[in-house]
Amino acid sequence: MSADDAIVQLIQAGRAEEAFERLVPAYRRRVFGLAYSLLRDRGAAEDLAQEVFVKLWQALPRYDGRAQLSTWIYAITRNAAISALRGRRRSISMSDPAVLDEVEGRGATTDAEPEDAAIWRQVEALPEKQRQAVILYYQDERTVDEVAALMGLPVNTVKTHLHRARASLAAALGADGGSDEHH
Amino acid sequence: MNTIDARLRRMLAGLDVREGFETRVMQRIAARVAHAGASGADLKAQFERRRELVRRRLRRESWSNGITIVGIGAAAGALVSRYSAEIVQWATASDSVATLDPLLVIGVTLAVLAAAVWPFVRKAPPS
Repeated sequence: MSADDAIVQLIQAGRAEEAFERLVPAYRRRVFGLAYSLLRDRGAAEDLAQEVFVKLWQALPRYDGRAQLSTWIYAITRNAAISALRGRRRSISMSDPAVLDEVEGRGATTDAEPEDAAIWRQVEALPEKQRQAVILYYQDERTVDEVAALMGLPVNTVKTHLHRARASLAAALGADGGSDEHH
Repeated sequence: MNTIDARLRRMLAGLDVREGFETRVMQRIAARVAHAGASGADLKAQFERRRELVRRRLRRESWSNGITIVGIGAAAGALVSRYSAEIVQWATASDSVATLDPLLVIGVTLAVLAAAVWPFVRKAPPS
C-alpha cells in the first residue's frame, strides 16, 4: 500500500488528524518545490507552503477521493501560488530599482556555490514553464511523470520544456546539455 | 560528469524548507483555531448583547404603552363621570341616537377601540 493510499484510508475512516500528520512529511518538499518554482523566493515559498498545509488541514475531512490525493494537493498549491503572485504583482512594480536589486540577488537565496551562480542566473532567466520544470525535476530526482503531475501538464509537454531549458542553459553556459532523463 | 544535468542536480538537491517546518505549520494551525474560536465567541457575545438591548427597549416601550392606555382610559372615564348628566340629557333628547342601529353602534365602537389599541399591541415584547 502506498503512502497516499494509507493517508486516504485514514481520511475515509474519519481520522483526518492522523492522516494530516502523515501528509505533511510526505508532501512537504513537493509543495515547497512547487511553490518555489512559481514564486522564486525561498521565504515566500516556505510561507506559502505553510499556508497550503493549513488549508489542507481545514479541507482534509472533506476530501472525497474523486481526484488523486497528489493531484488535489498540487492544485491547491498551484492556486495558492498563483493568488500570491497576483497579489505580489498588484503590490509592487518590477521597474522599481529596489525590486530589481532583490531579483538580481535572488540566486543567493538558494545557497548556491559561487561557481553555480552563473547557471542559477540562467535558470532564473528561463521562461516560466521551463524554469518550473527544471526546478521540480532536479529538486528531488523526480521522474518526468511526477513533474507533469505537479505542474498539471501532459508528460510530453514537460519533456519539451525540459529539453528546451537544457538547450538554452547549454547554449548560455557553453556546457554539455546532455541529460540522463528518467521516467 | 560536469553536465548541465549534474550541476542542476547538485544545485537544486538542497532545496528544502527550513528545519522545524512541521512545528511551524502546527503553530500556525493552532493560532488559526484560537483566532476562529475567539471570533465565534465574540460574535455570539455581540449577538446576545444586542438581543438583550432590543428586549429591554421593547419592555420599556411596552410599559409606557400600557401606562398610556390606562391614562387615556382613566381620562375618558373621568370625562364621562364628570359630564354624565349632560350626556344622559343629550342622549335622551336626541332623536338621532334612538334611530341608530344598536349593532352598528357596537361595531363602530369596537373598530375604533381596536384601531386605537393595535399600535400598542403590535409592539409587545418577545417572549
